[in-house]
Parts: sequence; C-alpha cells; structure tokens
Amino acid sequence: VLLAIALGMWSCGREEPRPVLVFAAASLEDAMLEIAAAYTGRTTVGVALNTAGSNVLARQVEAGAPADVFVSADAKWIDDLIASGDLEAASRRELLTNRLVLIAHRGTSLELADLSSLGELPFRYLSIADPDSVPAGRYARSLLERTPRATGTVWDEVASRVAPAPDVRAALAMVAAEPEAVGIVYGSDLVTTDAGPADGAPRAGSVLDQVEVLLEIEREPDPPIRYVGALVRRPKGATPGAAELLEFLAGADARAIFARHGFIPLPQGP
Amino acid sequence: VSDDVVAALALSLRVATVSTLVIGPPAIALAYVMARHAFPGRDLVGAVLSLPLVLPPTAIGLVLLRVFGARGPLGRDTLGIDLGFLLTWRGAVAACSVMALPLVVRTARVTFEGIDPRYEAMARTLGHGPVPTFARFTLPLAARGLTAAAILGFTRAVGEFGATVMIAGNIPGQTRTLASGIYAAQQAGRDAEATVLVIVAIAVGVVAIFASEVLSRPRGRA
Repeated sequence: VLLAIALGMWSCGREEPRPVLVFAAASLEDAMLEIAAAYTGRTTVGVALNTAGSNVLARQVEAGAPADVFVSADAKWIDDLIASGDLEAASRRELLTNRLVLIAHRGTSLELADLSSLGELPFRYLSIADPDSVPAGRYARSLLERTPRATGTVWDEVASRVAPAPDVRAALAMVAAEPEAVGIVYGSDLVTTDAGPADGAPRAGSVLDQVEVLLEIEREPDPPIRYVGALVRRPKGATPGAAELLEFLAGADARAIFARHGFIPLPQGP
Repeated sequence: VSDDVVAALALSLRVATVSTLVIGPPAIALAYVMARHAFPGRDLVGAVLSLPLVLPPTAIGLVLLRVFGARGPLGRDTLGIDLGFLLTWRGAVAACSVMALPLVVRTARVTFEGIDPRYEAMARTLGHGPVPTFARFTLPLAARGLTAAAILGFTRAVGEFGATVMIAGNIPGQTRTLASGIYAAQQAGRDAEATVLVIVAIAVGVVAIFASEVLSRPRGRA
C-alpha cells in the first residue's frame, strides 16, 4: 500500500523553489515567526518554520528532512546530530537561555522563600515536564537534585509527588487546573503576547490567569539551559540565506524579539 | 490568525479526503477477500493491519520516518529519486492513510460479511463473471456500510496528529493541520487560537460522525 501511495503521489508534480526552512522548538514559535518576518523584510529571502518538540525535530533531521537551520531547546540533540554528521559543527551557536520559575495555582496560600524548603510545602503534586525525555523536566530535576538538604536533596523529598507531563505547557496547564499542584516551568512560559480583545491585558480565563509565581529560581541547572542553533548539512550544499539567517538569530534585532518573548539572549563571541 | 485557521482546516480536509480516496480501493479489496476467503494467514494479515489501532501514533510516525527517511528503504539515497514525503502534505496523507486503514478495512469487512454469499452465487449462476458480480451486486448492497467506513477513515485522518507531525512536520501554511495547529498554538501559549481551532475541529467531527450515523442507519427506520 505504501509503495502504491508513494508511486501515485510522486507523479503529482514537483515542488517550487523552497525558502530557508527553519526547524525550531515549539516554544520558540511566536518569537521565530516575528524574527522570520524581520529577516524576510530585510533580505527578501523567504523563511518557513517547522515546529515540534526538539526530539521530534532531531529525528526528522536525522531522517534527512530538508531542513536548513535547526534551533533546539536543548544542546544534547544538536551535539548528537553534529556527532552523526547531520549538522555543521562549525555553525553551532548557543543563542538563548531561560529561567526556571516555581508556580502555584492563583490565590494559593503557599509561600516559599528558598528552593531548599520546597519539600516542606503541603502541595500534592509537583508538575514538571517529563524529566526523562523533555528538556524542561530534565532541567527541573537537575536543579532539585543539586539543592542539598540535611539528608539527601530536595529531589529526594519531592520525588514521590512528581507528576510528569508530556511537555512544559502541559505542566503549566496542570497547575492552572489543580489547586493542590505546584509546578516548575520556564520564565518564558509566563510571558504572553496573546493579548485580550481590546486593552492588551491577558485574556480572562487563560492559563496564565490561573497561576502565580511562587519563586523565581536564580540558580542554573547543570548542564545549563541552552537553546542552540546550527546549520543542517545538505547533500547539494547550503540553501542561499541559511547561514545568514542563523547569523541573524544571534544579532541585535532577533535578540530584542527573543527578549520580548521572555527568553534570555546569551552574549555572542566576536 | 483567521487565515491560519482557514489554511489548517483546508489542509486537514484535503489530507483526509485524499487519504480516504487513496486507501478506499485497497481497503475494499482487502476487506472483501478477508470476508469471503479463509486463506492461510488471514488472521495474521488482520492482526498486522490492525497494528495502527494498537500502537501509539508516534511509533507509526517513527516507522514512516525510517521508511521514507533519506537512508530508508523508500528514501532518496536508496531509490535515487526523492518521493517527496518528508515535510510535505503527501507525508501527512501517508501517515493518515496508515492510521485510518484498519478502521476502514474492519468496517468494510463486517459489511461484506453481512451480505449473504448466496446473492453472489445466484448472480454467478445467471452468467455474470466475478468482477461484474462484485461491481453490480455486491458493491451496491454494501454501499451504506462502505460509506460509513469511508467516513470513519476520514474522521480518523482529520484527528491524526502523532504520526503526521513526525513525517509531515508542522509548517504553517504547508503542513500544519487542525491537529498540529492546536498543538503549536498550545505550545506557544496562544490559548485563544488553540480554542478557536478546537471549536473548528469539534464542528468537523460532529458533522462527519453525524453523517456516518445517518448513512449507516438501515433505510426506513428512525
């Protein structure tokens, strides 16, 4: 059946010339769309965006999908793909970082002065992205594992209350829905450009309306949070404009847009 | 935002329609053969065909990515030509076809099994060959059930996300369907857009399921 579909549809016509195709972590979509528009405005080079979890994007790159630039929410996928020869090692750029934020249901009576006493709070669930597979969850676990207590670590104290979510937005939605849950999400998740009908305030009833910040976490997990970009190695040579677009992502205009969406641009080398 | 919603809806309907048309003939042939002939390995074929019902869609997506990936058995490095399934709407059709096929085959098979083989035997006795018998007697008798099967496959294709996003990606205006649009809007925190897309998806689903109920109801009964 697959072969029949394949042969049938192959004859359906050829593709027109492609714009630069950027693979970007789903959380970056709003910022990347703005940056793509700015880049196209400056250079007239078209940009198309493919967004998904970084792990899905990595598998697509590995399978030979016609991507030009890959921006991952995690250095691990980039480094794996550099090792397998799918990405250009020399093009690797650490673009952004993010903060982790401890959140609770809006109107919570919980209070927390320091992350080390998290285990003493009477919450029922700690909602984080799946620490085994999703970068946000891995960062959250690493942070708690590196926060020591008299015996063991904070992670030991809260591990039995962890409710893993398929991604960080789902962890956020869980805290919005469940008054007895707290969660660890990215600072950028709490920034919205999804304005309400008229006055630019967040829409009533939105997820962000249902949560509040318990603690801004200053410390960095280990390995640190890094959004990394690199050029995909193309069999017929790089698409015109791809390298320039990656350069643009590290430039002042893009940095301002990323910052407005709650990401923290990293200082770029010379 | 509304342009994106319209584009996602149009793509979902296009992918689901093409998927249904693509799997229709092979699904009918498979269902008929399995309903009428107890060939060796029939249960095995049935089990393999049903795998997309059992496996997580992501697993199907991974298999498709391996098959159509550059170095896979149907990939461009292996064949020497690019079939154009990675990150295209055709990839979405491939994913949705695989995911919808078992539902269509199962429904069609039950339909054929409900038709008394003596009608076909009579037609043959009257001198009709096997193909005219199938086309002029069996198919019209099965029409209602096959229509319901097609609509079921169509609705499965509209809702498909996990396998589609692996092979077709999630490119706005190119491969972003209703389902992957809902995912993207939710991931990026665009709650309002996600809500609109969910409402559109509900509307499509209700219309299709309702049509399937009406068409599969025996005629003359309420």
